[in-house]
Parts: sequence; C-alpha cells; structure tokens
Amino acid sequence: MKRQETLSQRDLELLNAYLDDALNEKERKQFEERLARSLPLQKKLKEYTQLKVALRELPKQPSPRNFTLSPEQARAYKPGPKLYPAFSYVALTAVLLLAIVFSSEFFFNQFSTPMATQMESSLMEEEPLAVKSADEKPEPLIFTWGYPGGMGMGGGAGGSGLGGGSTFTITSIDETVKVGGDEEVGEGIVTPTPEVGILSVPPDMGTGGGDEQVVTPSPEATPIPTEAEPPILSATPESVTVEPLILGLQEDKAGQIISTYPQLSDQAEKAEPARMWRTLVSDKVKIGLAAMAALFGILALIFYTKR
Amino acid sequence: MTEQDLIEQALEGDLDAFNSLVLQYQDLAYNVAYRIMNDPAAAADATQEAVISMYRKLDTYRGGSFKSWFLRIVTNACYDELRRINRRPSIPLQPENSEGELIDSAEWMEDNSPGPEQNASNEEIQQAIQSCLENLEEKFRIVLVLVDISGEDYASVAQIIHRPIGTVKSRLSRARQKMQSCLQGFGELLPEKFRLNDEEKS
Repeated sequence: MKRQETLSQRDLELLNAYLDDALNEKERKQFEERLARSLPLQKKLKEYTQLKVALRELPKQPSPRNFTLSPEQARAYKPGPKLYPAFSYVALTAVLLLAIVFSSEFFFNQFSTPMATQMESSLMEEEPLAVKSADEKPEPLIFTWGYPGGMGMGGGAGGSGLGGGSTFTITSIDETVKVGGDEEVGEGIVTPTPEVGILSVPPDMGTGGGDEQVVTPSPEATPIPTEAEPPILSATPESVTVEPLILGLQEDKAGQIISTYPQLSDQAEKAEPARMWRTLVSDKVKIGLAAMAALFGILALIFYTKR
Repeated sequence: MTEQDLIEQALEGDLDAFNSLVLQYQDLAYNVAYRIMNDPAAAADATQEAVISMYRKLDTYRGGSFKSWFLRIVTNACYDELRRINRRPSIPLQPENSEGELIDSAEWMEDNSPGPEQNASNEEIQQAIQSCLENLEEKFRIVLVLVDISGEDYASVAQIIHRPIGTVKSRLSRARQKMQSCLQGFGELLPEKFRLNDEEKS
C-alpha cells in the first residue's frame, strides 16, 4: 500500500509561489517535476487555483464618492513646518554637551588623582599625631576605693571615708593626697594610667568634715595592682584636682581612649570633600541640559510619529 | 501626462495634479479597504484618511512604485480604522419608527442587489469568501487581499506591509490554507468546484 504523501509548509509555500508565478526558472522546473509525481500537490494546486480565481472574480466595488481634496481641505491638511528635525537637533546638541561636560570632569578628576592621593597621605600622617595628642592629654583618673567603707561615707562630719565636704587632691603616689572640699566624693572621671595602681584608702584615713585632710602615702595606702584592671591612679608630678569622680566603670573599657580632640571623625569629614568628585560645571546647568534633551527628544518623537 | 509628471507637480503644490493621482487610484484603494474591512462606510473612511495622509506625506515619497507606496498608506489607514472600530462599542441595528416601535423591515435595510434566485451561485460563493476573509486574522487577510484581489506581486506586498518576502510567502500560504478550510465548511452551499468529494477527502 502506497504511503500518503504529506505536504509540509515549505511545499505549500513553493506551491503558492508557483501559482503566483514567483519562482525563478530553475525553481519552477524543479517544482513542475515534483508536481508531476505528487498527487497531493496536484490536488492542492487545483484548490488554490480555484480560490485565487474566485478571489479575483469578486466584484469590484465602485467608489461611493470621489476622495479628492478640495482647496479648503488642502489648506486645512497642508503639512506644517517639520518641527521634529529641529527638536531632534536640539535634543542631540543637549546630549552632546552633557557628554562633553561629564567627560571633561572625568578627565579632570583623573588628572587630579595624584593630588588627591597626596592629600590623603598627608591626612594619614596627621592621624597618628592626633592620637599622640590624645595620649598627651592629661587623662581623667579612675579611682577605685579599696574599702567599701570609704565609698560615699562622710558628709558633714563623717568619721570614715573620703567625702563630705572634703577636697581630694592627689599630687603623686609618693606625695601628699589631700582630701576635703564641699562636694561629696562619689563619682569621678575614670581613666587608667599606666604608672600606678589602685589607691587603697584604709577606713581610718577617712576623716570627713570640712577640714582639709592630708593623706600621706603609707603602707596602708599603697597601690594594689590587679591583672584585670590597669593602673588607674595617675602619678603626675603636678597636683590634679579630681572633680567629680565616676566610680564603677566597666572593666573592659579600661585602657581605651574615651575621646580625643580634635576628633578623628571630624578630621575625616573635613578631608572628605578633597576626595569627592570635583565638578567643572554646576549641577543646575547639567540638570538643565538633561531636561532639555529629554523634553526636545520627546517632542521630536511626538512630531515624528504624527507627521 | 505621466504618473511621474503628476507626482512632481503634486510635490510642487499643484492640487489638481494630486487629485488626478487620487482619481487614478481611488477605486483600487477603496476595494482593498473594502475587502480588508468588509464594511463600505469604514472602507470609505479609511480611503479618505489614506488620501489625506498621502497629501501630507507626499514629500516622503522617494521614487519606486507609487501604487505600492499608496497601498501601504491605505493598509495603514485600514489598520488604524480597524483599531478604532474595535475600541468603539458596537450598537445593534434596531430600526424604529417615529413612535419608537421596532420596524420589521426598514427601507434602508432593503437589499436592492440581485437576489439569490437571480445569481445564486455567484452570490453564495462571494458571501462565503467574504465571510471567510472576515474571519482571517488581519495580517493574513491583508496579504491575501493584496496578492489575490489587488494583484500585487510578492515584492510589492513586502514593501507595502514592510516585511520581508519570506514573511509574505508564509503569511500567504497560511491565509490560503485557512481560506480553503473555511470554504469547505460551507459544504453544499458552494459550487461543486469548491467541494471536495469523498475520494479527495480521504
């Protein structure tokens, strides 16, 4: 039994081209050879020929009227000036100007890069100085009382502890420590210093009241070095007035720089503009050019599509 | 006066020359529009729009076949008109008399063309073809109308629809396939030459 030949889309396209006389001589001969052997092709050719003839024979519809233009219509529909080329040129010019501005700024900043690096390096050099100056600054003291009895005791004519109206002056670990004044000693600024340890004050040393007390370093008042806490009592040669003291700071904060002046972050902020993109043309001009490019580009597109 | 002379004079602003070109091609334009749109009024609107558009765009004509260039404008106008019709809600035809009552057979609905009994086979096949044309997708319909009704060659159609010749061939092939299938659906209504006998069907 002979297998039914199926026509592909390509076969049908060739058939249509043959029907419409759109094949060249070689293609036409090849197709005619195949057509002579293929019944499905012959059948399809017959169908398409009938269809083509039927479509050609459809009655021509006479125009219901003339579609000519009157002079009035011609004036009304007269094409106006073509604005889209002008708009497109303006938009293109704005885009080019923007490109020139940005590329100029880019190259300007590229050439300026060594200068910026130099400034950065000088800043880097300044930073250790800042740290150094922070180190040199007289540091607040961390003062920890050795005995609970010495904490907040006093006031008025309290018998023990350092407090009350005493002033407390530390000259050095080897020198006289003055305690007295009007303020109660309960809080203070705490800053560790490497030289000394914790000053312990025995309970019997605390003599409150308004009297000026002189604490002479003695075996009772010796620094107690601890591993956890760095030495906290500064042994500076000059007298240091502690006011007020802060007690009970976290141990893990000991040894850290609390603050420096000038602030490092301030310096960084001041240095930031030097590293920023430097502009040659103001932003307003750039925005104006961009807006002009966008506006005239859109107008050109509208006029182009409506022409 | 040749077509090229008319075009040059029209380009110089001669309205008479332009109208001569319109008269030369308006029947072709209207027929193409009518077969694409299957609506006389819409076809007339599309043709008028095409003429106005041609008047405005005449300076963009860069030589070649003026007929193809104009048919391209016509098909574009048909596309626009079809889109406009699709957007516009359809209103059913319900003829009423002055008192608002429905009329069974309004005068303007009368068909004055020869009746089916006078030219039965031609009417039937024309109606069937027009119905099948209407059911085709626009892109297939336009190619079929341009090739089989307007008689354009593939190159011209490619220029008119602004697509490669390969696209024209494939669209035409599919359009004829669909038309053939559609016409077979009319069965006994069609003349014998459009029917497939049992042997052919198998």
